Formats: sequence, C-alpha cells, structure tokens
Amino acid sequence: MAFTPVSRISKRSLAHERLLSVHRLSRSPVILTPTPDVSRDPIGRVVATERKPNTPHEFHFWTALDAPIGIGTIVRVEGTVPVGLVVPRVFGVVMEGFSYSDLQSPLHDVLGHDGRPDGGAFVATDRTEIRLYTAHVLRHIPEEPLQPVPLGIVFLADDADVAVALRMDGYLGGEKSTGIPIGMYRAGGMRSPIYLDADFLVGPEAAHLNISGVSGLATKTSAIEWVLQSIFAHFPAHRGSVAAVCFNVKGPDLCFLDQPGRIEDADREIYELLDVPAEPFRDVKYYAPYTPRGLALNTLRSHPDLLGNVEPLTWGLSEVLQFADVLLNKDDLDAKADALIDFIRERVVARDFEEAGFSRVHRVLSFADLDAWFREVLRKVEDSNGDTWRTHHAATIRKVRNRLSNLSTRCAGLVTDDGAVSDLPFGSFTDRTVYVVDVANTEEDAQDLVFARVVSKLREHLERRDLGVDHLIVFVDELNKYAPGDGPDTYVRKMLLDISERGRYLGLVLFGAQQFRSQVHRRVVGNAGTSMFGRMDGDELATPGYQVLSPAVKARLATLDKGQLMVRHPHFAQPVFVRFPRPAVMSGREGVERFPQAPEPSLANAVTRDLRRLDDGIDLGWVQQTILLYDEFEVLSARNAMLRTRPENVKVAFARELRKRARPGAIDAEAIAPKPRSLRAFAPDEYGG
Amino acid sequence: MSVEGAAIAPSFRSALRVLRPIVGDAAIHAASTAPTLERAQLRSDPPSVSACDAVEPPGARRVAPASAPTVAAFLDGIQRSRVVGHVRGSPLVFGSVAAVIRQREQRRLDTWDVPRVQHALYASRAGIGDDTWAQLEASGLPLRDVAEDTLAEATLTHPMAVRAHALVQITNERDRMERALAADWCRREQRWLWIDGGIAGNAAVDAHAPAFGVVKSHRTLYGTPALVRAVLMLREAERSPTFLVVHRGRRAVVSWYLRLRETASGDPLHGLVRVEVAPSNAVRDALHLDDHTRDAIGAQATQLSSWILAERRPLSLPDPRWDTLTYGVYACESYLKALVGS
Repeated sequence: MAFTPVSRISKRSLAHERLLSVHRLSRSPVILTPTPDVSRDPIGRVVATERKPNTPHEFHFWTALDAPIGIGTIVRVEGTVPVGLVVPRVFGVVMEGFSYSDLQSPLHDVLGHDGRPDGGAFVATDRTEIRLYTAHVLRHIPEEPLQPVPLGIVFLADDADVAVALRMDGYLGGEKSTGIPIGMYRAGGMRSPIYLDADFLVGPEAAHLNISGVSGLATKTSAIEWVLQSIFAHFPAHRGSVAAVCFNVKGPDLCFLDQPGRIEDADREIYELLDVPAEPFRDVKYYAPYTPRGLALNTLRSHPDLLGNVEPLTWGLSEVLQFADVLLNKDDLDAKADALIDFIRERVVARDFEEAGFSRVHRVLSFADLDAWFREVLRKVEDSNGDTWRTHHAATIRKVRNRLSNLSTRCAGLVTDDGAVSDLPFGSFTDRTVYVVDVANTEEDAQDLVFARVVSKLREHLERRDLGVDHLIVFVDELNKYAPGDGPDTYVRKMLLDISERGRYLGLVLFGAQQFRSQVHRRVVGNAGTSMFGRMDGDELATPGYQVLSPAVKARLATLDKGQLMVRHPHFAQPVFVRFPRPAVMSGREGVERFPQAPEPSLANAVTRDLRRLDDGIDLGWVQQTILLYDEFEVLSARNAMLRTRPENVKVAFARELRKRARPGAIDAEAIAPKPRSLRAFAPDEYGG
Repeated sequence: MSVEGAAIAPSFRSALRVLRPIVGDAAIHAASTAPTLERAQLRSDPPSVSACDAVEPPGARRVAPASAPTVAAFLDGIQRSRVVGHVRGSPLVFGSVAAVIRQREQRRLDTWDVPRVQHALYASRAGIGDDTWAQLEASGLPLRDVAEDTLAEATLTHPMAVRAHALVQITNERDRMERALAADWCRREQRWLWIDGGIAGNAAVDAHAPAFGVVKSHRTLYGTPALVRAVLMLREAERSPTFLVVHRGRRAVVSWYLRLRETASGDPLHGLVRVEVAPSNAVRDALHLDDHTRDAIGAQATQLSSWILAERRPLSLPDPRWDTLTYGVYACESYLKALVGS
C-alpha cells in the first residue's frame, strides 16, 4: 500500500512516506501490550475529580510548566487498564487551559509583596503552580465500548498519531487516496501535514468550503489561493478533472494568479512538507467587461504585458434576457410584465417575427432590434385605437420596453447594444485551469448579472456533463453581500443556495468567503462541508454560531496570525489549527505596483492594441486611417466582431465590417421614415408607474 | 506496610475495604467521614516558662535578611489517624505517617530522594480478642498492638485510653521517620536543610550537620521572666541572645528566638519562631564557654537568622500559621496531604 498523490508532481514527500504506515497502524488492534513511545517522554497525566470528571468526549490533564502544550495541541492518552483485552488509546485536542497556584485569594499575594508590584521583598521560592488543560476527544481506539477517558499518561501526538486522531488514515494511503494537503499542524517542535478528503471537499460525499476572517489580513483570499493550488496538485486522477472559476469582486486580489510571488523560507518548508509546488498557477484565464465607453477592459489587469490571457466579457440581448429577473426588481416584474418578457424570450428573440400590420419581418438579435420591434408593436396598438396587443396591455408593453431598453445602459461595457458576445469557454473548460471573472470595477447590477449567468451556465453544462471538466469550483468572496441571512431574496442568493444544496451532485462546488459568517444565509454556511476560520472579530465570535467553541479557542481565533487557520472538516471530530504558506502568486498590492493599470486609451490606440492580438502587422497609423470616417460606435462594433470571429485576414475583415456597419439598415430607415399615427388620448399612467 | 515512591495508593480506603466485613458498613461510613484524631485531640499541656542557660548577653540583635537564599531544602512530616471501627468496644485506629524533603532547584520545589510513607492499624490485642486479631493479620494490614508495652489491663478497657495511646505511637512513628529522613540528608548532603520542629531528639543532626530546626509553637517559653519579656518585645528581624536548652533525656541544643514579622495588633507571639541548632561537642553547658565560642555561636545564630528571614516570602497563606510557617514547609505539608489525604 503506498500513498501516491496523483498530480503533476512526481516526487513524494517525506511526510507522505511517514504516513504510509498510518493506514496499517489504525486498523490493527492494540492487544494487551501497551506500546509506550520510548522515543518520547510523557508530557502529562490525565486527572479527574468528582467535580470535574472525564467523559467519553472530554478529559482533563496536567503538565509540567514547560510542556509544549497550547490551545489546539493534539495529544494521545495511553490507558493503563485493558478493556476487553485492548489497552485503550484516546486522542484529543486541547480546547481550554487553566493555570493557578496554591493561593486562595489574590490578596495573599498582595500581602506577600507588601502591596508593591515591583516585588517589594525578595522571594526565594516560586509558588506551586499548575497547568491544567481540558481536551476534547478526537478519537477512541478501540471505538467500542465508548467509555470515559481513562486516567492515563499523556503524550504529544506525532505525525502518525495526528493522522489517526483526525481519521486521515481513512483516506490517505493506497491507490485510491483522496488526501488534499491543507496545512501544517505544529506542536512541540513537530510538524505534521494535515489533509482534507477530496470526496468531502469537492464532492460527492460532502462539498463546499467556507472561510471567515477579518478583512485586511490577507487570510481569506490567500487561503483560497493556497487551497486551489493544493487541489490542483493533489486532486486524484481517479476522481476526474477539476477547474475553478473565481469571481474577483474587489480590488486586484485575484488579478495576478499567474505571476510568481515572494515566499519566505518558512513557507517553502511547508510547500515541501505538503508536496505542493511553490509556483503560481500555470493556466489562468481572465475575463472582464469593457469600461462603459468600451475602449478598454474594466480590470486592474490592464497592463500591456499581461493582456495575453485577458478576454472581454460581453453579452448581447439573448444572453441577458434569460436573466432579466436579476436586473428587474419586484416592482418592475409583476405577473403581467413577466408574461410579456416570457413571450419576447420565447417567440421574438432570435426568430423571424412576422405579424400583420408590421412593416417587415423582425429578427431580434440585439437591443437595437428589440427597440425597433417595440416601436412596431406600440404603433400597431395606437393604430388600432385599442389598449392591448395579443392580450398585453399597452401600459405593460411600454413599461417592459422602458425597463429592457435600459439594461444596456445600466450594464454598459458588459451588455452590448449590437448583440456582440464574448463569453467564458463553456463546453471547453480545461483541467487545472483557473478562470477569473473580474467584476471588481463593474456596477452592482452588472455583477449580479455576471454571477447569475455564469453560474447558471456552469450548472447547465455540468448537468449535461459537457462543461469540459468533471468538477468546477466557484469562488465567491463577500458572501455577506451576495447571500445575506436577511434582506431581499435576490436571484443571486437563490442561485448560491442552489449550489450549496445541490451543487455537489453535479460537481459544482462553492468556495465562499466572508468577514461575518453569522450574517451569511444559514443554508449556505451550513452546507459547507469544510469551514476555515482566520482571525475573527470579537463581536462576531460573540454571536450564537460560535457558542460551541470554548473561550480559549475563541480567544485564539481573535488573535490568529497571518497564515493560521482553524479548520473544521467532516472527518475531524474537533476543529484543528493549521498553518498554511503564503500563496506562491503575486499579491494584488504587489501586482498593481509592478504592473500598473494602463490609462484608458484613445479609440485608435484601443483598436490597435486589440487587433494586434490577432495580427502583429497592424499599426496605429493604419487604424487611424481606417477608422477616420466612422463613428466610435461603429468602430467598436467592428472591433468586437473581429475579436469574436478571429478572421484570417484581420485588416480586410475589419474594413469590411466597418463598411457593413456604416450602411443604413432597416432599423435606421424606420427611424427616419415618417409614419401616419392616429390621434388617441393617452392614459394617465402611460408607463405603468 | 511501608510504601515508597510517588505513586502511592489511597491506603485509608483500601484499609476500609479490608475492615468492612469485620466492623460493618455503618462503621465504615462513619469512619470515612470522621475527623482525624489529631484534629479532635486538644492540647492539654499548660503554658510554661522554662529556665535555660544564656550563651550571649541580654539584648535584641538586629539581623539583616540574606540577599540570596541559602537554605536548600525543607523537611516536614505529617500524621493522620482515624478510628475506623470498634470490636468488642475496643477502637481500631488507622494511622498514616509520612515525611518528605522538598529541595529547591531553580526557585521551584522538588522532592528529594523519595517520600517516606507508612500506614498501620493500631488496636489493643487484648481488647479486640485473639480471633479478630488473627483475622486482621490475615488481611495483610500491618498491625500494632497499642498495649504491648505499658497499658495496664484496667486501662485497656477504656476506649479513649486506647485511642490516646495509639495517637502517641503514631506520633512517635512520625518523629522516628522524620529523624531518619533528616539523618539521610545529613549523611549525603552538604546543603542546608530546614527542619520543621526541634532537633533535640535527633542525634544525626550534630554540630557538623547542615541542618537546623525551627519551632513555631511556644507552649513553653525559655528564659528568665525578664528575658522572656525581652523576647516578647522583639521587633521584626530581631533575634534574642542565644541560650542552651537542655531537655530531659536529650542532648542540649543552642537556641534563640527570631521575630519574622510584626503585627499591628501587638500579639507578642505573632511571627515569633525559635531556632535550634546542634552545638559542638565542646559545649556542655553555658557556664564554661570562652568568649570565642560564645562569639562563634552568636555569629552562627545571626547567619542562620538572616537565611531564615530570607524565607519569609512567599507567604504560606491561607494556612492560619502563615506568620511562622515558611513556604517551603507549607509545600512539604501540601505534598504529604496529597499522598496520605487531609
């Protein structure tokens, strides 16, 4: 039996080798012969009193004053009396610590020092002092009968003990190992690797990961980056392929995942111990909408040196209309409006729409086409001196026209009037690739639209098993905002709830992060099989969700340093504190200093830069000459078409596209042609209020 | 039954288990909650003033506390005895005695060698009858016949007399154990040992032994009435002149009083201890000492007093004897209570 991490890494770390024996160890019964670890000394003794008895789940032990024990330390208790021919062995994690002396009252110490804290008098002997710890049981061996923890000797857990205590022996070792290294547990000079079970992190047994922590300590994003690196390095081949879609919702946090970052020697040691390569992500693709003007992508990753893997994210009418619910609030979207939108979606968009009384056959592919169609409908209503068209009231039609036509303005840069689409490569996702959707600088409405559509598309493709990968991790930061516990029931929240509750069956996994876990919807955090906690705010720790933690654990959580996490995982009976390395990618802050954001270019410069990605021979002078007589809208439409179609001969195709877009079309002709209109009194609430 | 080492079973309870079929459940229950004889026993010695031979001229001596601790270890012993039942109206007394030396290393106290612990059942063989005696012997409990030497037949019938005699035997056993432990220290160590109590009865603590005794109780005060008044007037960190105390049947010891701390209430015995140290063989009585020897004794008293004053902190509160009980001895008692119970 050998633990073979299936990854692109060929070498096997010493830590893995040490764990080879763990699998066998935990499965062989300990018969009558206690196996004292002669290589190490005991560090404590279990104690129990009538007032403070031990239970099957909790025990107490004392140690010497200098014992390397602290909150979160894992210990092993060796029993002394065999139960059913087996000497019990219990593993626990320290959750509370007490220290006291033989003083009965602090006043006695005041008296002893004559009331002077600086010592007052010489004290020849230190008072008798105790270190008493309370530990929660991680595992009993044997598991049955489940008895209170015996009055045994306490040892510091070594690598093998840690693996058994956390039940990692169940998924480490063997051909079908599913261990994903998550961090390093450190105690008493020992360093033990901690693994999560891929089946419980990415599915199908359990899934999802939720991380909480205060902002500004680079914990949440760093931890997610590290976990993704580890998953990409260790996700077993027999479980299929995996990729990640990360929504960058603030700043430059995820903008430089493919650039190497600075890591310390201590971090490098952890990388080696956990057998994860200390290098940035190899395959990263960025997607960002345009700025509202459309000359540059709306991302902090706009430096010319980094644009090679940055693609525009633009959608047209049909992509947006499907998610109109996201952008329209309840006042907008009553039953009548909803019916009309459904009609447009089903019967109008991308179809030839022909009706008596219409001036022509409409084929609606863009917002401009849709507006022309609305004009025809309203004209027909007015011509007929009636109030309805196909059972839809004129006021409803005007209201829906108003709201839908507004979408391209509200989501300028993302939604195009001309129907141009540049999207994530749904259907051809590749293994171990990170797809970053940068919506950090996008309006809130547009962010919601991006979430809704991208995740829905991912879900559709995973249901059809044609996404390109078997498992997809979706990272969403600021869950406080997108899946709040209270507030309106938004489309995005419903979608996140859906992933949390049903995503694991599809291979759609949510990695969420937030500052205040208590303010995230309970079903979202509750469905996260694995939870991580960085440094926490005291107010947050005072909320009911943390009542299960001891005061000492809370205090430790409130003071955790960078790179430290408390991890809860279905296999771990109690939370475990681990240390993880700084991700080997460039931090957002460093990235924006090294690759400063390019200023928004002129129209000619923007087109030149974009077309040069398709044809090196294109220069600024040619572009300036070519676009001289065209409007900005026409130029940008032509550019978008080039980026979308990637023609062989860019120069020819671009010029042809410009000419084509400059020709007046049917819509333009309609707009300028005078039409006879019947006189009719307008209703008082023409737009439906 | 002598037990050595740190891991000692709770022998009182094991004794109760053995005695249960003999004395019955009710007696066992009462015994397990009854106070110890030591706690029930009232001191009957009347306060007295006893004459002694002065070594130094009268007058209080001011002593400066030592700047660093010199005492290396502390010795103390405890005893616990309880009536665990009655057979034919005669009490069975279970006694435990223990002694320990706690040495100071790196400012912390640790056990020197191993603690001495002994448990035994004290009874009147004539009182409980031979059959029960044989039954108790068969149980494996160590047995002591309280009447094997002195008690008269008539006295044996009085339960309180049996109890009192058992208590005397247990006390003697503790004294013997403490003396043996002190003798071990003096034979093997050069470092100074603080012994709780007097040293007059311990021949091993001679003039060459690095040990001294500190007496905390003052049922008997030594000196003339004028000298005793001077002792009671000692201020903090003052010692009395040295004097020789000669106990009947024991060798003489050099002794002096030392005021560890004062109290605002004016209690003359508050913080007052009496130190005992073994004189050289040349010192037979105080009348024939030359000035050099007197000076040497005085110098030693001052030096030891300075060491003792250095041990005034930490306080041994909440013990009611905290004014005279040094923390090292308090730690010995705490340790022994953990071994044999309170």
